[in-house]
Amino acid sequence: MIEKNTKEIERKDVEKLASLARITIPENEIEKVRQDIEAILAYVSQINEANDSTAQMTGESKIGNLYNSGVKNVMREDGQPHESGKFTDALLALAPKTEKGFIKVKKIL
Amino acid sequence: MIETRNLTIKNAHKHLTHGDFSVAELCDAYLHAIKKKDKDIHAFLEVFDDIPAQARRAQKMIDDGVATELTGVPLAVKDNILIEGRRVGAASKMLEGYIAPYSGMAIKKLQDAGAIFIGRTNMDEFAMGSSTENSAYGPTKNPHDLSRVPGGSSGGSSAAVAMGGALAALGSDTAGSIRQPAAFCGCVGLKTTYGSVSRNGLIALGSSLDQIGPLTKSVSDAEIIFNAIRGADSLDSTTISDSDYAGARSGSRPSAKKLTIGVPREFIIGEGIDPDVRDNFEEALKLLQKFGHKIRDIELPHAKYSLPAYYIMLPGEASSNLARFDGMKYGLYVSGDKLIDDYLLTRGQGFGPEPRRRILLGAYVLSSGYYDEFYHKSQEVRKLIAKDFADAWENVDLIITPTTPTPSFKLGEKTMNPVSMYLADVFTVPSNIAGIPTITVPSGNVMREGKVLPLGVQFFSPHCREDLLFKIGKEFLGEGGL
Repeated sequence: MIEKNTKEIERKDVEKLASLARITIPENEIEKVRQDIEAILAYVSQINEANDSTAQMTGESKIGNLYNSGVKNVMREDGQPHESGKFTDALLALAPKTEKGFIKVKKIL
Repeated sequence: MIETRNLTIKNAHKHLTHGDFSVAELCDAYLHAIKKKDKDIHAFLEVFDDIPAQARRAQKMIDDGVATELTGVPLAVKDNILIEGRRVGAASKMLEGYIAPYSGMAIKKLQDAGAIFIGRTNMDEFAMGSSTENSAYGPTKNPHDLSRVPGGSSGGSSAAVAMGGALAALGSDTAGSIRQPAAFCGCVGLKTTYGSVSRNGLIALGSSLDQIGPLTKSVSDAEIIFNAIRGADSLDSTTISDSDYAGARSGSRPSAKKLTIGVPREFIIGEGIDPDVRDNFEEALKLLQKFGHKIRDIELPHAKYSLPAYYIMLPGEASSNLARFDGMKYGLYVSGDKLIDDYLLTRGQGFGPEPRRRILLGAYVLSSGYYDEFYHKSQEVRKLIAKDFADAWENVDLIITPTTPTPSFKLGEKTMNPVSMYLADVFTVPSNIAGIPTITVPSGNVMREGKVLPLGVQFFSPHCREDLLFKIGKEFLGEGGL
C-alpha cells in the first residue's frame, strides 16, 4: 500500500462532509468513519502513480467509446411520453406524506 | 420429490415439456429445499406467496405449446431489481416497506418468457460489499461452509442457486458482485457487456458500471438467461442496439476454432494471491492447452489501478445516486424539527455504515478542492485501463484470471477493515471499468478446515463477445466443445 500522498482527514472534515451529504453520524462513530476514510484515501491515492500522458486520447475506437462499447447520446423530441397522471396515484401512494395530490414536506423558510 | 441440486434450466425444460413433472411439482421441490435449508443459510429475504398462481400460468404456456426454455423455471431475484407490486429494498432500512411501482425491463422479459419468481435474495446494502455482511437484515452464509461468507454483493443469489433453492438467479455486477459470489459458491456467473442488458428497474449504485446478469448452474443456462434479458430499451439510453451489438461483434478480431488466451501474469501475481488459488489457476491453464488453445502471457500495465480508481469513481456515482433517498418521496421517513432535520435523520438512520462511508467519500472526491486530484484522475486512469484491454485484443481472443484471490473467507474476517474487504474484488473490477463482458466458471475446490470450498476462473472477452465466453465456458465445464 502506498503511504505517500496520504490525506489527513480531521474530525471536522467528517462533520462537514456529513452535513453536505445530509447524513447525521452518531458522535461515537465519527472517529471510526474518519479512520476509514483516511485509509481508503491512502489506498486510492496510488492512481497518482499512473502516467496519464496518453490519457488525453479521445477514447474512440472502431467500436465507439473504448469503455462503453459504442454507447451514444440518445436524443428524443420533447413531447408527452405518456398521458398525464397515469402514474400519479401509484407513485404518491409510496410517499410518506401527501395532501391533495402533492407530496407534503415541512416548511422550507 | 425432484432432486434440485443438479438440475439445470436445460434439463428441467426437457422434463417439463415431456411431462415428467409439472411446473407446480418443480416449484414445490424448490420451496421444499428453501424450507429445509434457508433457516441456516438465509439466502432469501422473502419467498413469494403467489407461486401456485405463477406456476399455473407457466403450466398453461407449456400445455398450449408456447413454452420457452425459461417457462416454469423458478428464479431468485436480487433485492435490488424491481418487480411490480412486490417488496424491494436493496437490503436497506432506507427502503423498508417500499413496494415496486413498476417492473424492470429484465423482469418483464423473463415474465414474458414464462419464468417463475420464487423470491428475493439477500445482498449487501445497496450492493455495497463483497460478503452480504452489509445487509441490514443479517448476513447470508455460504452453503459449502456455514462459518464462511457466500461473497457479495449478490451473495443471496449465489447461495440460493448453490443450495438448490432456485434453478438460477439474477444478480447485479458493479465491480464483481455477480462473479465473486458465484465463485465462492461454485456457480457460473456472467457480467454482461455494459449496455447489453437494460438497467431500467435496477436500483442504481454506479450507473456507468452496473449491469444485471445471471448466476446459474451451467454456462448453457447463463446463455439462456442472457439471451432472454438482453436488448435495447428506450428506458435505458445506455443500452446497445442490435445493429451496434452485431457491429461490435463483427468488428472484433475474427476467432479461429482454437483460441489464443492471454494471461496477465504480472497483474495476477502482483495482487497477492493464495497459493492454492494459484495452483488451481495453473491447472485450468493446462486444461485449456489440452483442448488445443494457445496460452500467451500478456501485459495489462494499468490493471492494477482498477480497484483504486474504482473506489474514487464509484463513491462519486453512488453519492449522487443515493441523494434521491430523502424521506420525501418514498421509503423511510424520520421526522425532525425542521425540514433539514428530516433529511439528516432519515438518511442517518436509513443508511448503514458502508453506504454512509461511500456517500461521504463520494462527497469528498467530487468536492471542488479535490475533484481534479481524485475524480478527474480516476476517469483518466479508466481510459488507460480500457486501452490496455483494447491493445490486448489485437493479440488474444480472451483473457483469463482467477475470479478471486482467495476462497471464501470467514464471517467477520474483513468487516472491521473496509480496504481489506474491497480487495476481494481486485480481479473482477477491471471488467466493469472497461465495460467488457466476463464469465466466471467453477474451476475446482480447495480444502479448508475439513470443508470443500469452490474456486472459479474468469474469462474476459471484447465488448459484445459473450458468444466467445459461452463457447469457452461450455468447453471448460465439459458442456460440449467449441
